[in-house]
Amino acid sequence: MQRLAWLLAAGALVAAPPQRYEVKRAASPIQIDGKADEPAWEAAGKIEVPAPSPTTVRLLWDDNFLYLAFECEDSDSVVIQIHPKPPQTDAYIGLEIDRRATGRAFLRVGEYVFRQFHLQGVRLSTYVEGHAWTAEVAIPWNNFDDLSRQHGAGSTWTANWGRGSAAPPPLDQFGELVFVK
Amino acid sequence: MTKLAALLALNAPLFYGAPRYEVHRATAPITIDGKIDPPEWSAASPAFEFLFPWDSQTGEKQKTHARLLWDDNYLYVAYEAEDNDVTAQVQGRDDFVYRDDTAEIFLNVKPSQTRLYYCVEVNVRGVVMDYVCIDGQYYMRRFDLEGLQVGVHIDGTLNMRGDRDRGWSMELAIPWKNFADMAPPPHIGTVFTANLNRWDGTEPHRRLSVWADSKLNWPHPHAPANFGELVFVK
Repeated sequence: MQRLAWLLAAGALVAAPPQRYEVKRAASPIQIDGKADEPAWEAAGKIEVPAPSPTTVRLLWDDNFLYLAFECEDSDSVVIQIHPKPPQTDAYIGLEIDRRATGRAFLRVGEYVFRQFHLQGVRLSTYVEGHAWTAEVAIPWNNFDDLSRQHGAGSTWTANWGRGSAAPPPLDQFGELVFVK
Repeated sequence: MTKLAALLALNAPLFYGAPRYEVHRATAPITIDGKIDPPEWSAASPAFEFLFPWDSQTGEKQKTHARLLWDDNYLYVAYEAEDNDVTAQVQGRDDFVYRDDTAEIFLNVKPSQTRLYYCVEVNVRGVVMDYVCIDGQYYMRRFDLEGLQVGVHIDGTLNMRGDRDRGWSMELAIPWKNFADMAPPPHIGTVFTANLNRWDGTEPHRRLSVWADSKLNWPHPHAPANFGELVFVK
């Protein structure tokens, strides 16, 4: 299993190359029910998200959606930050989700965060067990069209993940998402 | 020479080259129905006329005038457009309404920067495309204004060819709260920068007319460094 630790302590990042994650194409249908137990997920490596308690994320894609699956051992929310490429702009799209399966999108450009930003057609479900929870998210690609219409095999975007209200790292510390077949 | 005369008529300071408009406070309630009732708009500075900076455009240069007012909650915009053939096809929110007969306002509530500004485009059907614009280049249409009021009045027939229409008018009420991520609402003395534009017709080389000349080489309104100034006054 591929295990990547993204965004170690700031000091450790100094000479670190960008983290890189291969996003594979989903080989079979994914049911968005909060449990990433469909066979397709077995092909997806786990990214360890630095957080006070263990957190992992996996990604897959198909023609219509970018899929994400989170496993969290505490009740904090998860923040997804996705920077489609090209273009050469610092704008990225964020989605904060909580264990009650509420999703709040935002657009960040430099120092400004726009909260009246609504993704369309997002499918989101969570499964809660005590403090721990898991989530499955499917984001239609067209939500990224205004920044980049290039996605799927051969494209490379960058992304980052956070828990709770921790400030996001600078864009140049985002990891790479390499989309493969 | 005509362009210079137009600028002088707008009292534009020549050292800056961009127009300036004093936005007065509304003194009467404004019903957003597209009809520019004189009592509602009597407090406004005189309407300004849009420019036609691009020679490549063909067809009749039909006039557009606009006025603005404000209060604690809203920016109000009124457009009056001569139009002998009123036409609009786009019906979906955030679809490209500027391909129709459309009025636009681009508003930079943080003029110390020119990367980011808010855009509202409304066709004569009242269909809205609203977005945050980044670097004049990326139109982030998943941004949605809340509480926007739109009124359009058509003096003629929509999409009926062969007859002769007279024009259309439009009123917008845009709640200030929509811009809270960048700036608080204006107070007396605040200066925001903006451009107001009108697209006329759906044929090739259709007309774009503007309040502030974008100074771009092709008919295109996105040049935030060349916006005009809206000065908020009593």
